Amino acid sequence: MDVLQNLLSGFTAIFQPSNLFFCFMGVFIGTLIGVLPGIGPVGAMSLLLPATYKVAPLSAVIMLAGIYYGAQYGGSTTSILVNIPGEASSVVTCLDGYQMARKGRAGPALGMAAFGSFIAGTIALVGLMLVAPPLSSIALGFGPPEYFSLMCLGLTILIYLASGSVVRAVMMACFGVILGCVGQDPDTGSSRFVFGIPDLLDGIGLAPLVMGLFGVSEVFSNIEQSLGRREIFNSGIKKLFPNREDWRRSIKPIFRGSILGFFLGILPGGSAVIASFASYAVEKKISKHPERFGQGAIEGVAGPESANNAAAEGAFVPLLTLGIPPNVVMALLLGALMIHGITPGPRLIPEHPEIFWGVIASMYVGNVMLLVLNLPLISLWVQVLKVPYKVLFPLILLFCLIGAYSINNSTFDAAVMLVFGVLGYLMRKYKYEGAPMILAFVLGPMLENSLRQSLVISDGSFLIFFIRPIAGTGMIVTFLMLLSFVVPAFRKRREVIVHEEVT
Amino acid sequence: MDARKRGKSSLVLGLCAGVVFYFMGAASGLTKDPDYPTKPINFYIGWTVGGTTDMAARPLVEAASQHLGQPIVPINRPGASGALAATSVMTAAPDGYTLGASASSNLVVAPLSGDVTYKDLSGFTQIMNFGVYLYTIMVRSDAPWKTWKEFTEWAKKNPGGAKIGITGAKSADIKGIALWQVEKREQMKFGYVAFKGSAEVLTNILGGHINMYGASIDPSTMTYVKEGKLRPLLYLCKEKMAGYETIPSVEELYGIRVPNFMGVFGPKGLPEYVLRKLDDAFGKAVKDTRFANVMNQMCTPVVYMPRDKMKEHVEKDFLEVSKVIKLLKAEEAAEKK
Repeated sequence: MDVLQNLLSGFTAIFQPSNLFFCFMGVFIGTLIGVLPGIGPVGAMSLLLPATYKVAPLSAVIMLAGIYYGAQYGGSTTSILVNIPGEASSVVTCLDGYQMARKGRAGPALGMAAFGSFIAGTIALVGLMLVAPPLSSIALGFGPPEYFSLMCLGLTILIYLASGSVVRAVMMACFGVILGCVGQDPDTGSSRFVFGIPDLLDGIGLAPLVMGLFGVSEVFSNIEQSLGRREIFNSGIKKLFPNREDWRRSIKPIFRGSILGFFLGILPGGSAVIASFASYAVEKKISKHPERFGQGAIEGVAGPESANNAAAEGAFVPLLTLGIPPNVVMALLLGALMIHGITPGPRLIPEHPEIFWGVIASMYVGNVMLLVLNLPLISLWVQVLKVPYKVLFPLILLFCLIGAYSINNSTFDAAVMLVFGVLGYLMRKYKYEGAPMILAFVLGPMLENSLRQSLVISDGSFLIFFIRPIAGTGMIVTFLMLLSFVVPAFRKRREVIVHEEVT
Repeated sequence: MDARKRGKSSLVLGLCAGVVFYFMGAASGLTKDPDYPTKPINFYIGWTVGGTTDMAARPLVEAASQHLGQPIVPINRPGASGALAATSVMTAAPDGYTLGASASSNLVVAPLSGDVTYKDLSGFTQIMNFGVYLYTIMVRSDAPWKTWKEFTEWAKKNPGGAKIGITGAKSADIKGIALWQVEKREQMKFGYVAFKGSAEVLTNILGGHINMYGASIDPSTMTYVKEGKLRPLLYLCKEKMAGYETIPSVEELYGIRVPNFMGVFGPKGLPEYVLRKLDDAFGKAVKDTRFANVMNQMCTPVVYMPRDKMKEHVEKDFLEVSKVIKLLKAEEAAEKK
């Protein structure tokens, strides 16, 4: 009852006109920057941070939070329409979302992404509201060894991401790990693959890499096919909203994705990117028709899009209950609260209940606003597909360049994006997939860090990965999965999963 | 004709007057300085938005811009411990329209240990100092050691038993460099666990995965100190936080100098009239109340040093750290063999 009463007071706060306005501004800006590739929530929030100095702390947080989860809604739009992830967390949405668009089903894909995001957002909110404090202490139990075993599991699951040849997927994963090594050695500080370029000291940026590999390469490979002759999307646009069959396929992935995403979001470092990849891999693994994935399976859109939204809201748990920001966006929110003299931490909920419950209530309202905002927009977005290529492509390239530059005010990042654009084009031409490479690129450095941290803690003993309960369980599951690849009975199923498209 | 003649003669007259005034001015030292600033000033911050330096520098430059009468635009250019921003400042024209935020990581540690384009301080003009970072060693309050002395006695008997979380590689992090010096003095060994930032170190010490915190104090950690969940044992710098003055510092105990400045700098060769304007504007800006409030919330004390003092201070820091890094690298090289 306490929860209900608190929530009620939260809703009273949010329904004040000024707060409603800030909530709307937040989700509106969030949707916009989500759609624009490269321009992420961090940039927009930092620009708007000074503007929040003058308003009440609750309004400030409501708006900034709205930008963050709003961006997760918008991120899928360009993934589906033009194969460019609007946010890094929408990379996997490209795999099936874009294929759906090519088959004239852009509407249902966009619709399902919006509905999935809405449902996931609501589920994650209930989680945030009911179980935030106990969950945050569980998150503290995740030390380096636990992360290591999670990463091992992640890299094993990666095999399921491949829709073509396993050998090629593993090759791309290795390449991703190598790219992830670029930068300073985390332990000794010596430079690796830096070639005297200071811009590489912090490694290659994820956003320019993703935008190059998926977006720019898409433009290049389309240029190759003669510009004038090709019809935009062969079959045109049939329907705007998902039909009953789509719903039947998607509802379970949405729920699974929500729960998975929420838990991964709570873990420090477990970002929305990983949540979306994990959801995709899980859906492909348990699907009865894994061969449909990569060919425009709606489950491949619904699951990951739900997962990244749930993860975005899960990330609020460590900030609001422990006062520890799990990512840059949360660090910005922490800064915004501190400007107003409020320090998030274990005492936030008892001392400033109006902030905690106000934010929760605003998310309910914000999620509804986003759905209302996004559904009518679908018909508008779909029109984008009717824009002729010779107009659309230069625009896409321009937005990508602006986006890549704006992340760090760096022309180097824009150059990185172009290099990976060319690489991505070649990969596409010779049927090497980008997804395993990206996941390995994200997981590789985390795997390395947690391995080295663990070994310092254990004085060099590998036992640390097996004697701790969470880490040990993760390792056992990893071994079982690896085993399933070699045992013949399981292998048969696996072969269906990686069924070559060539046939 | 008439008009042209008059025009000519007035031109000559004007020229004469100009020459006379010029010499008069030069003789009495009253030359009119060029107007500065007449357009917005770019201010490079080499760290991400929302970080300590970013949060501290933004209200400072806002206050300074009010005294200068032109906006100062903060530009975040994170990467290579702030060295990319420092490079942008160094290579900019010395006209006073490009400035930046300095810290030991981009002016001292990066040129001494990283692959950056500058190897010393010669490319920069130090303008002022506005604050200091506070670095500490902390343990959980349920740890057996109540004081630094108790800890060192235990550590001597248990080499490597202390697992300390630091932010970055030992030789590329100013706290790591300080800790290495402490090790030498106390004849003990830490196990260094490198994390990405102080938030990660905090989660890991709260979760009990490591037993020591070796990073800067920020509002998140401060909450836990105030709640009695974390106990500071030693400051890895000279300054102390209010209310915790009895805790010893490395400067007191070992005479170790740890650079922890937070300053404003520009490219070398800034003209004197620009510097005078900046001295004045930033000197007033450190007294701004909103800036002071933010600094207080960030747990970073305001420490003002004018230009000359700052130059001397940073050069001394640089010299000191360059000696230590040389020894540290030699030791690391020997260990590899």
